[in-house]
Amino acid sequence: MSTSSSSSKKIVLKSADNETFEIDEIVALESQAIKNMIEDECADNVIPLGNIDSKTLSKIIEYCKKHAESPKKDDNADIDEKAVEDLKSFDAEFAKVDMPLIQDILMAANFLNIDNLIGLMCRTIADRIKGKTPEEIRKILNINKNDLLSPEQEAKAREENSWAFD
Amino acid sequence: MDFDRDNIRLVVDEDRLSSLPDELIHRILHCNDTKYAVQTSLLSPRWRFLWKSVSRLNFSSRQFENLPKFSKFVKKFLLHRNHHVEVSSLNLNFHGAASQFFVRNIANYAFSHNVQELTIVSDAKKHHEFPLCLFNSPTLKHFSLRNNFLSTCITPKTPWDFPALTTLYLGEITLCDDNRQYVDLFSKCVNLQTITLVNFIVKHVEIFEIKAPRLSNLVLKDGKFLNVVNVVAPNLENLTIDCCFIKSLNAPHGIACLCYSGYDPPQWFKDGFHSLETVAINLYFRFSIDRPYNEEDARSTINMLQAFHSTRFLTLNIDILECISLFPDLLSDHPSPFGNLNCLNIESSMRMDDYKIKMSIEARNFFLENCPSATLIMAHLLEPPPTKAMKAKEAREKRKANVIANIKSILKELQTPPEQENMLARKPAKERTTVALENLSAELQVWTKRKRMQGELEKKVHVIEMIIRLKAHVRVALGEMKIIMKQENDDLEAIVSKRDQICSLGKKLSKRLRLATFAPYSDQFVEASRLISCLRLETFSSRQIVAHYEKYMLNYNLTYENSSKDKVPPEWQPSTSSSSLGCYGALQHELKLLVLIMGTRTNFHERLELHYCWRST
Repeated sequence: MSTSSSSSKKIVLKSADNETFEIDEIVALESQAIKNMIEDECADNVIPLGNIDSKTLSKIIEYCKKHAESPKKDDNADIDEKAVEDLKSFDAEFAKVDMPLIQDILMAANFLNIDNLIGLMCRTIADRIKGKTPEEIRKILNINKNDLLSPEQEAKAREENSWAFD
Repeated sequence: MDFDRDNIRLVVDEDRLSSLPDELIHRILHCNDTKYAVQTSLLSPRWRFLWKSVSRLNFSSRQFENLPKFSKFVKKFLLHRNHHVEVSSLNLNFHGAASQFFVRNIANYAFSHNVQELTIVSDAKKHHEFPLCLFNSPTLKHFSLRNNFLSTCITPKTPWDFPALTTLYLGEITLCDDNRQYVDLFSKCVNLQTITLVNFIVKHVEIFEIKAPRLSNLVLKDGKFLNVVNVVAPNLENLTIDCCFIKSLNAPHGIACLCYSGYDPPQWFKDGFHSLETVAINLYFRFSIDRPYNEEDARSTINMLQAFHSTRFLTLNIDILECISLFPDLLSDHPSPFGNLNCLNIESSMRMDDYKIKMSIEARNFFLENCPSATLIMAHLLEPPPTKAMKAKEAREKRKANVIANIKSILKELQTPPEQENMLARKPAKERTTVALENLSAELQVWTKRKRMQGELEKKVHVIEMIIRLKAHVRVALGEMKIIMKQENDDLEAIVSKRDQICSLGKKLSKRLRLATFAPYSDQFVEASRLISCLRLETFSSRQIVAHYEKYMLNYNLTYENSSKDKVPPEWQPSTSSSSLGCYGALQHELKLLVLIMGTRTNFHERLELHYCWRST
């Protein structure tokens, strides 16, 4: 890990809609992808993120800031329980957004390789579809109505997996 | 065009999720029970077979009516799953008495698919032995086995074969319950780093050996019936022993961190530790009024503390300090063992009398003599309990605060006009009445004029009809006004009663406090009192006028009624013009009275509105 003097270095990100975001390097390091770029010394100029819009990117920066500030679990065995609780409630609040934005964040987090955030978004999606019928899930996930199983396929799938539909 | 745009949006949304790599969708599926994962096969062709290659399996019988249905599901799932995909983790949570066969099947499947993480939670209440095959895997890294009740669920008593295992958690488990000289379970787990045993039983065994060459963390919590525990772990760093019944324990001397809590000071640390960093000890003793601390308690506590001579951070609960402080002579006999102490932290035991315990000079010397610069923290002790006088004072303060809060809330209510909507509805009513009155007035004037001009009366019947019609109008106008007046009077009374309420609440406060509370509102109070008295006076005079008017009407009617048998009152007889003129005079008088009343009401209303404006500033 870099020393404290270099941690005040700034990284500039540019969203798909050409908005620039200047963030501390320590915040950017939450993204494994950017971390690799910094290590390979290709992060000196603006980093263009052509597939992430500014709304999604500012959400992701909000998340990384908070997580960069919080003490890491492996740094110290007995970190403040309050800090852990604080981070938990931050995550819970953070995930209270609509499904399209969750999916945008998930894709962007996947691109930027921010493992905690990927996990949080997957959990959020899982929580929202838990115990729902296929129709409800299709609605929640906005699955295209033109891309359904044919009645024959559906009947076949139901029959094959009948043991899971009791 | 609109349709197209919608369609594009849908495609974008669909693509967004479907374009995610399988591993991300799997990660979503991992979060929920495996049953839900299979059910997503109906979503779309993209999702049709995704569940088959899920690598983290969560089986919970909670999603099923009974264990046979659950067992059937698991069996089918494993059968239909893609066998080329390894099982990275398996979480099995079942209620009821599952057959050994069932558990063995699942474990075998997981082990043959190179499982790394295995969690089994059961709630067996009866005697139950786990099959040996469950304790044999070359790939397993994390193993957690837990029962929901402490029962006789027994694990195999020969060394478990988990060469890759790094963390082990066992809860509510019996590790051994038959007569044995020696039991060793972990020596083949050469990579074990963390062992946590919670609520466990090792019965009738002379020596329980925890032998693991790479072990670094060991937690023993609520262990029962233990005789000798031998921890053979040269790399052990952290040792936690929490409320275990252990006769004797041999721990490696090189540990860095020790946490101990129990009822008595253990005597197994005699040989001491040479590189301790932090030590936290909680002793509860078996203290009661019947059994105060005795010298032996203090002696063994001091012995125990001497074993921690190398530590830099020492945390003790207050009971330990209390116990040894009672025997200053004992403390004086011992030179301070601590040479590296950076910080001594005395923690509360959450007892009501915590605050009474002070550190004696002897105790301070015992801990800090060699390390005068060490920090002493006694910050978390409870405050002394409140005395009677303090309680009484607190109650008084509370009452005062209540009174002030009440006053403030009433003042706030006063800031918003009561029944403001009524006020608004009343305005048109008043205007209507005024207009009606003006019309009446004009009509009368026209009528009177015409009469004078003609000099002669028109038909008598016509005159009488005219008078009756005007009278009816006046009556309606009067009725409406009385209603308005009553409502306004109610409002006034509400304001007055709130002011009185505030005053009577204020009397409950001391003069000083009352003045302080009312100071910001004093101008408003003076103004309010002035307005209230003005308004009262006006209401009173309005009432008198109305009463007078009604009396007049009553008399008039009586005269009218008495003479109405001939349909025409005697003084209205057309034969004498003076009596007709008398009628007009009476009507004119009535109208004058009405004008007077209306004028007063308008005045009143304006003042009331002014009052609200003042309050809302």
